[in-house]
Amino acid sequence: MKRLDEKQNEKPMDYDDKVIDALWSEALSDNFQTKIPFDFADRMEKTAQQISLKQFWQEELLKQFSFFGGIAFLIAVAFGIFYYLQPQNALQAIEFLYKIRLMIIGTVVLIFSFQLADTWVFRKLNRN
Amino acid sequence: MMEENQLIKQIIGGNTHAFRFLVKKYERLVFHIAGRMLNQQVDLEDICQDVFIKVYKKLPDFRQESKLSTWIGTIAYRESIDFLRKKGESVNDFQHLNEKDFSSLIELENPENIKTRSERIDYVKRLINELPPVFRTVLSLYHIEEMSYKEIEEITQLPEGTLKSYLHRARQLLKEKLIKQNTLVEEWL
Repeated sequence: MKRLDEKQNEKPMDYDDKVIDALWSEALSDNFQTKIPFDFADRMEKTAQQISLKQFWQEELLKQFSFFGGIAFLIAVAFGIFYYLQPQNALQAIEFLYKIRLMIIGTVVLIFSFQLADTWVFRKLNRN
Repeated sequence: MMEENQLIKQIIGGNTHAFRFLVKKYERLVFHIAGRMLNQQVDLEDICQDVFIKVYKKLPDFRQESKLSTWIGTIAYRESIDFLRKKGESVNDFQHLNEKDFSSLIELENPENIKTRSERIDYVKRLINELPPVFRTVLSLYHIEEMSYKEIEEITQLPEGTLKSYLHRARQLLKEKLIKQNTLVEEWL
């Protein structure tokens, strides 16, 4: 439409110009036989899926790491204060935490996996 | 037919099938621009893939200030220019076209022995191959994609005056060749 408006505002082309333009158009459309692979769009869809999946995991991991990083930071601050006030108690607490370390790590990993699985399921549901 | 806005929203929302639809819709345009700039089939597919990957990643930043086709065309054009630059090819020839005699860029002989219609078209095709990439692309966007000056200006970042001058020169060039052959332009079609 724009192109038509532009053409109306332009000085009228003489007949030769029209013929010449027609010649350019024909040669241009003939000159380059673009070979677009028939499955190009399918392949691009797969690439988009991979990109989207990669972006999703990157964002999700970053979110989870910031969450657990935040918790770890809060625990560290709490222990710092505890240690500063009553060193003996703090040492006992650390010793106790060390004893149950496997349980703590297991719980963290479990929560982490549940959260990731949740996000994954929600993502699937949203897409469908 | 899916609305453009709807299509963009769906793609941003993670619908890769909508992206497939977008690729199908604009693959011809992207292959055309990159193909004209590169003038070869080798590397063409890789460039076009890179273009669509960029489109996919940058789509959330698309402000819809221009048409989607123009925006995709701009990415294809820039990607092709970057590729040519990386290969060490000069893409700035067109900037000096005003000072140079345009015809001197074309080293093609005059069409003295051309009689049939297909020979004439072949001759113009060879003429197109001799043109600098940007010039070729401008001609293609105007004649084949039927884009407006404004759209071509957005894609190539060339001022409208320059674009009009290119198209005028292209007409003049062909006319000159025809006059040298003593042929009436009307006889060519």
